[in-house]
Amino acid sequence: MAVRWSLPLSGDSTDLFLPWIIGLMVFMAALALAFALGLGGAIARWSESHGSALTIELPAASVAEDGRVVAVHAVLDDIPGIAGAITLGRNEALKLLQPWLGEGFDGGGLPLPVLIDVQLEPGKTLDLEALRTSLSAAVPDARVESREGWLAPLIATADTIRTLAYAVVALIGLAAVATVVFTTSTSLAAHQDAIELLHLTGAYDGFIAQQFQRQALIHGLLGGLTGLALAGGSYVLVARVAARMAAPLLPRLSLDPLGLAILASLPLAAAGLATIVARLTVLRALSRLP
Amino acid sequence: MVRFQSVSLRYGNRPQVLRDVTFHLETGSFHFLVGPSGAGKTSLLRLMFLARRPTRGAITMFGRDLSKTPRHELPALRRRIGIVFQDFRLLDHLTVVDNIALPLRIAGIRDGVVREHVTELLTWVGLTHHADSKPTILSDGEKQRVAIARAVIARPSLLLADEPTGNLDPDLGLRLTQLFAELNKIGTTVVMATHNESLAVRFPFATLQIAEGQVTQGGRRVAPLI
Ligand SMILES: Nc1ncnc2c1ncn2[C@@H]1O[C@H](COP(=O)(O)OP(=O)(O)OP(=O)(O)O)[C@@H](O)[C@H]1O
Ligand SMILES: [Mg+2]
Repeated sequence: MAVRWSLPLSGDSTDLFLPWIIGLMVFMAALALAFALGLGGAIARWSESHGSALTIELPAASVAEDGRVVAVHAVLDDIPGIAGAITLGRNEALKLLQPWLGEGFDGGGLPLPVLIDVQLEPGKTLDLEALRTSLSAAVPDARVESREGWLAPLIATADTIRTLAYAVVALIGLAAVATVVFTTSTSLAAHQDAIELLHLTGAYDGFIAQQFQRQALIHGLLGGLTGLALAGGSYVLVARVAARMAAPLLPRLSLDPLGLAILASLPLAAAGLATIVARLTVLRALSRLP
Repeated sequence: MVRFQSVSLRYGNRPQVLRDVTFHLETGSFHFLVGPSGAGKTSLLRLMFLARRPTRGAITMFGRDLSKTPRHELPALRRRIGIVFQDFRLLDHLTVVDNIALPLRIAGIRDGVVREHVTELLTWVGLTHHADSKPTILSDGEKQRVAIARAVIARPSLLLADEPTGNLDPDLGLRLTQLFAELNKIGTTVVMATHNESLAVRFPFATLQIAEGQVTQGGRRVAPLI
């Protein structure tokens, strides 16, 4: 096959340059993408825990069962729009904390506040102020936690950060496109005479482009795999450090299988992008020949 | 085969190299393209091997009006043209054999057939001992012979040779011109640019004389003296 050899592309200076630059880009893209995907998972978990609208929290008391719970239920019974209220046991309270503190967290003998989960009647709005006033009259240290109040901004912030991370990935993609355009153009200029010879001998543009595409594909794969390996290495390193720190309060950014598959396909994406961009660059340059 | 009608050519803003040139090369003809250095011989050939479009005028080749031929149909026309470039234009990273085989490979001819043709031509131009050499180590005359072999290997119907004997000794120059004459005998239309008057007069072929932007077509010459 003539496609392999009629241009001496594999001796090019881009031979070394392009795989490394693509490797670096895939590395950075993999980190940003892993972060974005992990954050997405965390956002989903937070949103799930969003189910009930209100929680009434009674600070941990030394006496496990106290009259405060009864008093709260009495107040709630008089407020319109409330469908029901359930006092959570210690295990259920721990379960609620899991999205934040990790699955293995057992409370460690900490005194936990008493949580009363309040369900609203669907479609009705609750007079939150009236509830607060009545409650504080009956049980002064009860706190009403409306999840909307603090979870929503948190999710919104995380969402913004995630969007930024995706934007970073897109920018890296653009930079990769520019790099391939540049290296392909350099290579085209270096082999101008040979290309003109092929052209005048009756080679179709696609035949000439194929040789550059093949080169870009190899460079893209080589660089992509290098970058992914670097990213994987960094992940293992960070995971080890994190495990040693045992910092369960950090939101966990674990990846689901889909996320992992997306990351694993980055080298293919890089190679595919490089191939397409190289082809288009060559075809555009050749179209200037008569 | 080749028809120029009021063709003009200029490079950028420089004076015209060809001015309102009209001529017709019949299928199966053989023309020596003569004229002083810088007169425009290479430029004229470039128009014929489709490396440039004229600034003005119409060129018809193989019965096709080039200005009306879509770009993607030009490679098929180019495959019917063999070119010997004045500066050889060999690919230095390929061996002599692969250089000669290039037109066949581009045309997608099977390897077995390619090898057969290349072997035959190598013998023809006397370079069998350099089959696997890279062009960089060849003398200019040897390079020129590789270029000639490459130009004829695909049995072109139009052979355009730009000073193909400029670097050859008189004997070899004569032999290769005889080779072109033989190809011409079996139907190849040939245009051969040359400075070598004493070589040209040995053949009974017509001339295209180019000077000051004008091309004049000369008739057949008298048979050679020997
Ligand atoms: N690519 C180019 N750009 C600008 N001017 C050019 C170009 N090619 C040729 N010319 C000019 O066109 C004129 C004709 O050049 P050309 O090479 O066709 O002459 P020639 O008859 O082949 O000469 P020689 O016998 O020395 O090979 C010259 O004046 C040359 O400077
Ligand atoms: Mg010339």
